[in-house]
Amino acid sequence: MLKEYNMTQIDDKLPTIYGRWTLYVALAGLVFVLLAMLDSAPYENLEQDFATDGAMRSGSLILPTNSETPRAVMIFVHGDGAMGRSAFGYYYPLWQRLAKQGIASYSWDKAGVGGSGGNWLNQNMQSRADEIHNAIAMLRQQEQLKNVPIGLFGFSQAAWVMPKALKDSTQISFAVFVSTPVNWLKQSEFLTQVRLQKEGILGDAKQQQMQHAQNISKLIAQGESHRAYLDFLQQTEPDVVESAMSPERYHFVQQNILADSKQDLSDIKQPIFVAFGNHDSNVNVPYNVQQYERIFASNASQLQLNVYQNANHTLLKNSEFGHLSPSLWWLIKMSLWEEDGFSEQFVDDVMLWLNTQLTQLATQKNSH
Amino acid sequence: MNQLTELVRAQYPGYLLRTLLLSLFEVVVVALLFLLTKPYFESYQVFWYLLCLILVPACGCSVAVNALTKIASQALLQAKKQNINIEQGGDGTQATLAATSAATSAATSAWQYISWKKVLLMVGTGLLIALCYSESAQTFDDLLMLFCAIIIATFLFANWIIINAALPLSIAVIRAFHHRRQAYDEAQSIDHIIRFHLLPWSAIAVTTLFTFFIKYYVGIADEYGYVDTGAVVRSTYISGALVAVWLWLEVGQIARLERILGYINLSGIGHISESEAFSLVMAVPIVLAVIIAAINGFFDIEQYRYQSAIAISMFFMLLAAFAGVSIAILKLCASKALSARQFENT
Repeated sequence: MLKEYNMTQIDDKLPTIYGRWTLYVALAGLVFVLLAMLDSAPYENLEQDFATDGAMRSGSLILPTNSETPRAVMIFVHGDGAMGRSAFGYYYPLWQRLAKQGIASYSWDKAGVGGSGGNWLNQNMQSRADEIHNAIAMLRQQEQLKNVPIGLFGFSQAAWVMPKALKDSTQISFAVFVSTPVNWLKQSEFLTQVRLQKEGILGDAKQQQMQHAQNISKLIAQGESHRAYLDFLQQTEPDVVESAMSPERYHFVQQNILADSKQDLSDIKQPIFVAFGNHDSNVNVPYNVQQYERIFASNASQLQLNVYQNANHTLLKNSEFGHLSPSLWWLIKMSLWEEDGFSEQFVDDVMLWLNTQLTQLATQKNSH
Repeated sequence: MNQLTELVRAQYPGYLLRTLLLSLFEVVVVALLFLLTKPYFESYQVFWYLLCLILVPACGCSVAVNALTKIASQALLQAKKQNINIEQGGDGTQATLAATSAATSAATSAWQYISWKKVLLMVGTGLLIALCYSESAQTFDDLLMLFCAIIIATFLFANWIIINAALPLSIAVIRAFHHRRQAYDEAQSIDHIIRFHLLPWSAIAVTTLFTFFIKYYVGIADEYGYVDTGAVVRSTYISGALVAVWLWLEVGQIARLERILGYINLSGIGHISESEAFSLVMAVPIVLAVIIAAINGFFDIEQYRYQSAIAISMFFMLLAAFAGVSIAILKLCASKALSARQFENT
């Protein structure tokens, strides 16, 4: 059967009014996004590596774009864990604010993370302090950083690294300590207490668990092998054997479990700024505040110590970030909130304190 | 009145939205895959640069091909309803030339409207975006802007290809439908499937996931020093399923049209339902994962050095890509959405 067709002649290109306009709009959008990308931060990010302990550390030097020579360089000292140079984006708002103040920042991937060689679990606090000295040596080779003051900006576990670096160095002028405990074992004990409280374990059961945790710490501190640690767990608490520390983590803890910064802190001459959050569930804030005040009792002007309200261990607002663990959402929220994510006044106080230190250093330099 | 031009133009607003959503979907899925697996984005800059070079042309082409095929299918359906045919010979315009060539060289595949020049321009734009990101402060905000730029570039190129190819492709498809003389035999069908389905889609899927898996395993190996068998088995299943679902959706659409045009003629394939096809898509990667587990069990492999894990995972992903296309072809042969009866030629 034959069908009847409408015969049509194609004599023109498709008149695409929608298409052409969307092309123009998309092209303009692309140009806009690319320009915004180039102009979105008040700093430039330069890849700067250095050698330490036979391996390379891959890092970023954050230079402010508002001045040719930075007023100072802050070296960021990571806390515990496998941290990349920006600590999952946590440092970005701080780099940004420092850059606005004309201060450069330098941070690197921990050993074995990202572009860095080695393994951070093989490090101890002294080797991490040596790492800082090697980073400073590299920074001093940069023409624009030859004579600028250098400071440290450290978090949590940096508590035991920064005092070691500060006491041996004439190159470091000041340091900011964020949520930094004084004694490893005391901190470990506090963490156990917090965990038991969260699990609702009270009374004798709590005492037993605390004693058990202390026995494990003792075993580690005595230098027992990982095998002995597993055997001990098998005998005393077989349920937790599966979540026991890996041999590498065990070795790391064993190297550092006796860390205590009291002596190193009392040896340092540089001024320090110490910040804690009142919602810190990793560090016993009242105990550590007391310790810092006692250590610096003879020279109170060397220490500025603030405890911030509505702040957790990271000094981020507890009401907004307290319930989040590092995740994609945390990262997005952090990048949206930027500096506002930190507890009120924390960043302002740090900047004010840094400006005061830099002014004093400049005055001293001029008077000489 | 130029009926066919009006017919194709009528499809356009709807497919503009489709192009935008597909661009968004494809780029966001890959971007999330990268972000969710390892958050060390600041330490693996090279992967973001690679992603720009791969995603802009890959997503640009796949979105364009998908939307073009939809437009051509709908134009064919409408032309059939309204009994519109295209005159033989013609006036020498580009559209007619394309239509004429369609009768002889099967320009009824959207892939044939993507020139090397366009692909090079897309790669160049990817390079430009990567350079801008490299010059930026490389914060997380910049990373989000990088994805925005890739989405816009994908949309831009897909739309550009569609504008230029929607009409010639629709003409070619309608002409091929009305003037087909002889359906492809089985050997020709297989050649056609390999050339226009297996190769382009597998290349896109494998290249994108290859970049992803290198980043993934480098991240794992950085943290643990090795990649264990369980991780390889899991990632093989996930990537296999991902590739299979994606190809099922993408190729199924295109291949369905080609079956109507008589380019694909495979004997011995019966009808399968949507749910049966989906079960196949999800089941085939399980077979791949089981094969890996069995090989590991046989050779007593407990953990991989990451280079080997990447190589093995790539090999199985390639298999998954092939499996995905095969399933899509099964699906198209059984498709009831555009039944052959509706398009019976006189």
